[in-house]
Amino acid sequence: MTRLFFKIAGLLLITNLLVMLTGYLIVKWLENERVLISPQQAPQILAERVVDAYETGSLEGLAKNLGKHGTFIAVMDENRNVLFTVPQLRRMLENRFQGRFFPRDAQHPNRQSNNNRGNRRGPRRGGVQFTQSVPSSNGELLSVVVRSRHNFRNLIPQPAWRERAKIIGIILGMLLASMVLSYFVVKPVRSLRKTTQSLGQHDLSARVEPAVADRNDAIGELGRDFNRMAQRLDDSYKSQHQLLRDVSHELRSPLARIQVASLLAEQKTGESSELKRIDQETLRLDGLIETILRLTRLNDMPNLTLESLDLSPLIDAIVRDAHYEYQNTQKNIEVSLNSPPLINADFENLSSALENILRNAMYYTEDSSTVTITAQTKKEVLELCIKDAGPGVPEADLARLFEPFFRSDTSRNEKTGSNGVGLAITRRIIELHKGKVWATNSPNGGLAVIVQLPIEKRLH
Amino acid sequence: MTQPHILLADDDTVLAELLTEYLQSQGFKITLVHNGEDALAASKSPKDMIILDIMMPKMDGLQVLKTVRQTDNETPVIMLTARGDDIDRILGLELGADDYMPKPCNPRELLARVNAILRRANISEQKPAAKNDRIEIGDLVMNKHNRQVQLLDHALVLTQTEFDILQMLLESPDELISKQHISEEILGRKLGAYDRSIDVHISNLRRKLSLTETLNIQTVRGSGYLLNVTRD
Repeated sequence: MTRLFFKIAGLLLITNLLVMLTGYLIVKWLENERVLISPQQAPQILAERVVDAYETGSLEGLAKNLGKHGTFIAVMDENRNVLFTVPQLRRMLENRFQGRFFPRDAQHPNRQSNNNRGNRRGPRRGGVQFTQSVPSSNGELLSVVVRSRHNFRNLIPQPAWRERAKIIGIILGMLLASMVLSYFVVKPVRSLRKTTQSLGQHDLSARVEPAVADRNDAIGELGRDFNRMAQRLDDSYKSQHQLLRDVSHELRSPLARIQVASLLAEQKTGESSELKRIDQETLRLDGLIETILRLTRLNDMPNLTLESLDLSPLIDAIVRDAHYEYQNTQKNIEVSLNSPPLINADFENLSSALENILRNAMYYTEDSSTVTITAQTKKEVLELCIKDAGPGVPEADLARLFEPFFRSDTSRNEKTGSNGVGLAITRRIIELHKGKVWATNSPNGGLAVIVQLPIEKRLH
Repeated sequence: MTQPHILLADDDTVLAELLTEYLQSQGFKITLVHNGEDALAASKSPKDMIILDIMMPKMDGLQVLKTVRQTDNETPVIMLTARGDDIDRILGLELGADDYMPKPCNPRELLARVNAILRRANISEQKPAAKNDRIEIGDLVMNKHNRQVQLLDHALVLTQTEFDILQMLLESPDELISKQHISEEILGRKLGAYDRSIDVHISNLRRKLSLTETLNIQTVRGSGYLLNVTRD
């Protein structure tokens, strides 16, 4: 436990540090690249840009842009000659700096200044005003006078995407960190879960993969414990299975002798109802042993050879047999398959699986009622539903219906002559087809057995 | 007809004795052995039929069958197989057994199978030779009377059951014959759901007919077989 605790704690620590570090590094980098500008750098950078623009002659444009944004600039040389100014600063330059204007600049800004006088607003709160000296390319020290209604942080307008870059960078860092976390913590848990599910679905060979079971922490321990449990389950299932098979084998020899002995007795003493009874019972036992052995054989089979199959003729054949068997009764069968898609199946085994269900339904359905067989396609499975109009099965017994020798109502045992293994065989066969079978009580009475079989995957 | 002589080999002595008693009461002469070696030794003298248990000490039934079939293809053989053991069953049929009987066997059923096979063997023996005993199709000539088959002038060695099935196919070429029909006619029994007997006999026949391209046994899935004859 402690190991896993420290592992997770350590991981969290590392990932948090990672997030902080990436965030910090990204901001640093952006500042270095002058994409993001810190408040301390702002005056210097703004001044440098202004001088640059002055030297390249693009100052008019820059001043106009900055003006829109609420930042006004002027440039003076060392001798307080005003080299450039926006009209908004003109008065201030005249008053505070006693700036001298070149004649060529004089007229134009004047007029502008007059125009703007009416629009002047009062002093703004939160604004800044400063002078920053920057050396120009020829070594002269130029002073840039700035008045802005923004503080230093927002002095230079920054495009929106640059603002976002900071946030995106941090989110990316976090994403990376969470993925690292998930990978190390969630992955083994998911693998464990998958194995648990397989075991739950009757795959007794399911084991936790070595990558998880060999870990040195609590998850690894859990994996190993699970594997031991699965092994025990598997063993006990196998020995139960083995016992059933061996007992059945052993029963056959004495049974064979009884059969012949009773026949010889009949020849000597003539027919009698007792001998008939012995014959019947040995036949029943014989049939029972045969079905048990068939079930154990199916259980031993890892898989069946499946081939592409149309379900319709198969259903037709078993329905024909059932009709024949019940021809002297009022019990009916109604089939509506609507040309089902092809499935992968073993004809004989699937026939007998479905036959067991149908036979069961025919037996329990009321006189002059109808057993219905319907099919519908659901995504990648073909769903067959065989529904009778019988008494149904208590809800609590539904799940156990497919267990060998399970009987919901023991009194029905003798009458049916069936041996309680049929539906177990059905389940195993459907499993071998990678399908599912279960039973429900239908809302309007009667039992519905539902079989799902995977539809054949076509190449196109 | 004289009393048919059957060799019965089964290591379950109690069962074998009971079966012997039963078959004797039905008019058969029985030689009873309890292991494979004795069975092989006893098969040297001519028998009308051999009933072989597969699980036997010293030499198992399949081995006995294999050895017997090296020299003798005619004596019908019924294998007693563990119920549901498909592999043994199919192996037995592939090695040339005529039929099998799952153990524990219903003695009446065993009797029925024995009778079915012996009856077919006798039909041809008892009839005098006749003109229409000869069937000639493609590269194949069958003489129903002496039960000889020639394929491209080679004698074709067939077991009794294979001969009977081939005869059925030859008598109605290009016609679908259901497995069930073959089973009832030749083996004297209904074919169960998982019974591959006829398929194995047919595959043996196909193998033996592979010398010629004029005769081709086609499988019609789920229904049966038909003999496809290519005529020049």
